[in-house]
Amino acid sequence: MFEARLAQSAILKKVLEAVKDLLTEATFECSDSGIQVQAMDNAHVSLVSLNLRSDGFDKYRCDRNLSMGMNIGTMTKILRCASSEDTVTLRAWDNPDNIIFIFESQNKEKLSEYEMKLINMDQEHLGIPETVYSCVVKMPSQEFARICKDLSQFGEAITIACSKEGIKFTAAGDYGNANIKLAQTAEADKEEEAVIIDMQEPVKLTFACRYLNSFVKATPLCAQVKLSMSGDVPLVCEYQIGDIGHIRYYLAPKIDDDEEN
Amino acid sequence: MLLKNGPELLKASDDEAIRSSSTPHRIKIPSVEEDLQNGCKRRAVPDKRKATGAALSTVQQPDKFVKIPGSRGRKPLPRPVHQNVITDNHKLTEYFPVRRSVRKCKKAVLEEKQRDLENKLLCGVEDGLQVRHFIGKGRGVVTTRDFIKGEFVVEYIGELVDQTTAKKREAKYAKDQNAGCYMYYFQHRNQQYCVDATAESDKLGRLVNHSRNGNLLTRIVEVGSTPHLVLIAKEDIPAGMEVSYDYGDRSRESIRNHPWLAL
Repeated sequence: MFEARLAQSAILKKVLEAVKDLLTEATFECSDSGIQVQAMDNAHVSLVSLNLRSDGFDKYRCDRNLSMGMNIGTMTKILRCASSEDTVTLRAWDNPDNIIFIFESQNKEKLSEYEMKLINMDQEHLGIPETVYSCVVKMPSQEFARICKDLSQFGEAITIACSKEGIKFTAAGDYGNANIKLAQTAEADKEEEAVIIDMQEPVKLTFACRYLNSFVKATPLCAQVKLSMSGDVPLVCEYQIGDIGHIRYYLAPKIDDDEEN
Repeated sequence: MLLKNGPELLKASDDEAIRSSSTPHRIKIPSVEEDLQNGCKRRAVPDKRKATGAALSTVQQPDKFVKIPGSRGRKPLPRPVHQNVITDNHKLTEYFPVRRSVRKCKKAVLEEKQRDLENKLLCGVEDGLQVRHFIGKGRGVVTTRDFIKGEFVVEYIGELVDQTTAKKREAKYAKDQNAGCYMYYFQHRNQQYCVDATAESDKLGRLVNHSRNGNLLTRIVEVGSTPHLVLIAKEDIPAGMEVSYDYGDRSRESIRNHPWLAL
């Protein structure tokens, strides 16, 4: 049997909101150590890697490893039926055809059960190598979301250039261009409010806005976002999920103009 | 604008005082130029807007109602944009290798097995086997390599005939003393079939001998709706071993004619 309980459904609600733009369906790999999801969007340009550790749940039991294919749209709908303070329990039997979501209100007076059919999926699993990135930038997640939103008005791509001085976001389009520079915070009271740059080598990469705008849907999960970049490899955009796990987005860079020619 | 015109202006004026404080006259000259350029630009900008934006609003609206054939409406527009996003972007699979998990779902494993088997049947695979003469028994088939339990060994190849044809042939063969017994009857999907391998051929399947506790099993495999008789290893078979299977014929008459069937 598989059973996982979270005291507050808010985390799971936020996680679903953070992936639903990119994924239509995903396989949830449940094991003794926790729940893992790895899935690419349809275009195979971005990848979502979600990890929820078993010790982060209030109750966790997984007798045998399970791979459960879930429709993200349906799952989102179900979780929208829970209020944020509800306790949420996921339950499935061995060799399941269904997964059950149980929401219990705080005063224990209301108990809702939703059953969702699982889907059979043949998904490609990518082996992501351990990488030492040239630049690792930690910044307030809201700031990053704002930058992506603002810049996407100017072009469909954002160029991120990172150097010792700071990080620069650029977008250029037919009507003009936009440029946002963030300097490394000299002294910060709180880490999550600071811009922290750990740079080995300067990098400059260009990414499609629409994916970045999907990534920043994870902003409610964490006050800080970590961007890891190296020349000509995918960007990693990481948000911590409380002390239960993390969500990582990988995004392949745009093809350079001179690369095309 | 101003920046662009700046150097031109400086070149035109040789007076230093003018550079520091602008006179109305000075402003007027560039403003004319500027107007001209602006005019061009201004024209350029709406032009551009027409090219892209107008298709979304002004031009598109009549299209929607009148539906002029061949006119460019809004609908075809988003598609190339969307395609662009995909085509001018690298794919993650270029950076990260697709991990082929060893673990597969049962269905996939079975399908794969079936496909593999069908391929072997279509190619008439007979490797790892050779014919050997046994004293008192005649020809038999011996392995030249190890076979693992459940592995495909050989197909019993002959002519697939229906029961009535088989009975007629059997009667004919019975008259011939030299003809061996190579008729294999079986039932598949509620229909009686027989594989007649009496005709001499270089196929090995027909030469596999009988044993009541042989190391092979027969299985029927359907390839493109034709049933095939397949011999599968019942246990791990080492190289150099004779392969055999149970012919399954226990009738008294058969045993009287072929005493070895009881072995």
